[in-house]
Amino acid sequence: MTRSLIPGIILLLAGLVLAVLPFYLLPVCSDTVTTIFGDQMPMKCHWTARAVLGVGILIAAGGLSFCLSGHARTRAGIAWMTALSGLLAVAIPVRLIGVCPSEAMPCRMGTYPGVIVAGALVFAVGLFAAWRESMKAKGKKD
Amino acid sequence: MIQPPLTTRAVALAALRRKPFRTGCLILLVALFAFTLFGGSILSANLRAGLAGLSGRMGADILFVPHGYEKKFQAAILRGEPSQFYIKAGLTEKIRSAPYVQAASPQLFIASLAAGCCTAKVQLVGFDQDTDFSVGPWMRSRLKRPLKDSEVVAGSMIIPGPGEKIRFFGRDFTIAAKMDRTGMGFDTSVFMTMDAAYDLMRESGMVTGDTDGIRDYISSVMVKVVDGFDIKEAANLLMRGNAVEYDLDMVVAANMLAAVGGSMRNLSLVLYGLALAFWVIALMALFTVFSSGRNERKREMGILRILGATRGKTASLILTEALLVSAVGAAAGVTLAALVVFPFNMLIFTGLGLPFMSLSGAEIFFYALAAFAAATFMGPLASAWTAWSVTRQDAYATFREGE
Repeated sequence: MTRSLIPGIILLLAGLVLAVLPFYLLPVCSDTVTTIFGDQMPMKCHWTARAVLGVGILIAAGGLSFCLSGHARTRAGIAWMTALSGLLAVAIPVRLIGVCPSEAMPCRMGTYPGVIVAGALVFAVGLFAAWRESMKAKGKKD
Repeated sequence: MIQPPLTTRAVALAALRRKPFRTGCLILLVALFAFTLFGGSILSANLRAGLAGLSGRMGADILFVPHGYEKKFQAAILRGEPSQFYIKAGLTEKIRSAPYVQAASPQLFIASLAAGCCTAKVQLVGFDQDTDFSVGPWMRSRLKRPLKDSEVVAGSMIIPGPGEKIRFFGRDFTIAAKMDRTGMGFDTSVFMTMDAAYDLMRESGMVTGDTDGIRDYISSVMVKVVDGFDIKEAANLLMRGNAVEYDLDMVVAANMLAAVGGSMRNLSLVLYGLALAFWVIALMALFTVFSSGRNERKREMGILRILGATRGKTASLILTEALLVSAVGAAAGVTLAALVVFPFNMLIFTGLGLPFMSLSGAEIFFYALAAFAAATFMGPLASAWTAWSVTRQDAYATFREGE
C-alpha cells in the first residue's frame, strides 16, 4: 500500500515545486517594459509564471487525490490527467505564452529549463502510475 | 503458474528485490558517484574549451583602461557585464610611438539600455577599423567587407538576426553579421564603428555641454607588443611613461588568462575530488555489503551448490548482483547529471562567471560512456573478493555453517 503511494507523493511534491519555481527557486525576470504611453508593463515571462503556478497547484492536487483514492481505476484516471497537466506545464513557456527571447535573461536561463524538467518529470511519473494502476485494475477484473 | 528459468540474472534480480532498501541505498551511492563524475567532467571540459576560446580571441597583449576600472573591464570581457569608462584619446598615439609596440588600437565602451522588450542590457563596443587588430580578425570570418556606420556586428546571444534592425538609444542599426558563440562577454556585445559609437553617445544625450570634444575620449587601448619583446617589461615601461598623465590601469592578457585558468583548475579539483570521495565511499559500501552478505547467505549458496550450481556459477551470481546494482546506479547518475548540466548550463556558467563553450555530441557521448563504465565497473570490483572466496568453500560445510 505504502509503495503504491510513491507516485502520488512524487506528483504532489513536483506540483508544489512547479508552483513555487518561477517565483522563488528559479525566478522570472522582475524588470518591466515601458510602453510608448509611459506605462510600466511586465514582461511575458511574468504571465508564464502565473500560469505555471496554477498548473503546479493542479498537479499537486492530482498527487494528493492519487494518494487519497482507494480504487485502481480512479487512480489511473487521476494519473493520466496529472501526466497531461505536466505536458501543459511544459507547453506554457515553450509554446502557449513563452519567456523572454534573450538567453541572457534570468527566465530563459533558469525558469524555462526548470519548468521543462519538472513538467517532463510529472509527465513520466504520471504515465508510469497510470500504466501501473491500469494493470492493477485489469488484474482485479480478470 | 509457470516459474521463470533459474538463470544467474533471474536469481540475482530476485536477491536484489528481496532487500529493496539495501539495494536502493547501494544504487544511490553509485548514482552519486556517476553524477559527480559525469557532471564534473562535462563542466570542466566546457570550461577548458571556454579558456581556449578566450586565449584565441584576446588578440591584444596588454589592455589599458582608466584607473580603477580593471575589474569592470574584465567583467565586460568575461561575463558581458555592461560598463562604460573613459580616458583621453591621445594615449593611443603616445603608446603607438613606443618602439616595442607593434600595434595599438582604441575602443569605446557604451553600456546600452535594454535593446527592446524582454532583452538584457548589452555592451556596445566601438572599434577603429583602420587600426584594429583584436576584433577584426575573428569578425572577418562572418563579414568580409568593412562595417558601415549604420551597421553593427552582434554577439551570438543578441536576438535579431543578420539583416534585421536593432535599436539603441532610439537609433536603428542593421545587423551586418552575427558572431559565433564564444562563451564570453562577446556573446552579449554589439560591435560598431568608432564614428557610430561617438554619434550614438552624442545623440543619446549621454554627453552634454561640449559634445564636439567627445572624440577626445576613448575607453581602452589594445596593445600588441613586437615579437620577442618581454610583454611585462613593455607593460611596465608604458605604465611608467603614461600612468600619471592619463591615470591608467592595465590588464595583461596572459595574467588574466592565468587567473581564469587558476579558478578553472580549482573548480575542477573540487569536482573531481568530490567524485573521488563518492567513489571511495561507494566502493567501501559495496564491499562491506557484499562481504557481510556472504556470511548471511551461506545457506543459500550451499543449497545452490547442492542443487548443482558450480563454483563459477555462485561466483557469477554475486558478480551479477553487483553489476546490476552498479549499472542501474550508473545509468541513473549519468541521466540525472545530464538533466542538471545541459538544461541549466547557462545558469551554472553565468553563476561561475567563467567563459565556457558547449561540447560536441561526440564529446558528450564519450564523457557519458566513460562515467557509465567507471561506475558500472565499481560493483564487480567491490564484490570480486567475495565472489572468489565463495568458490573456495566446500558446499556441504557452507550449507551447515549457514544453519
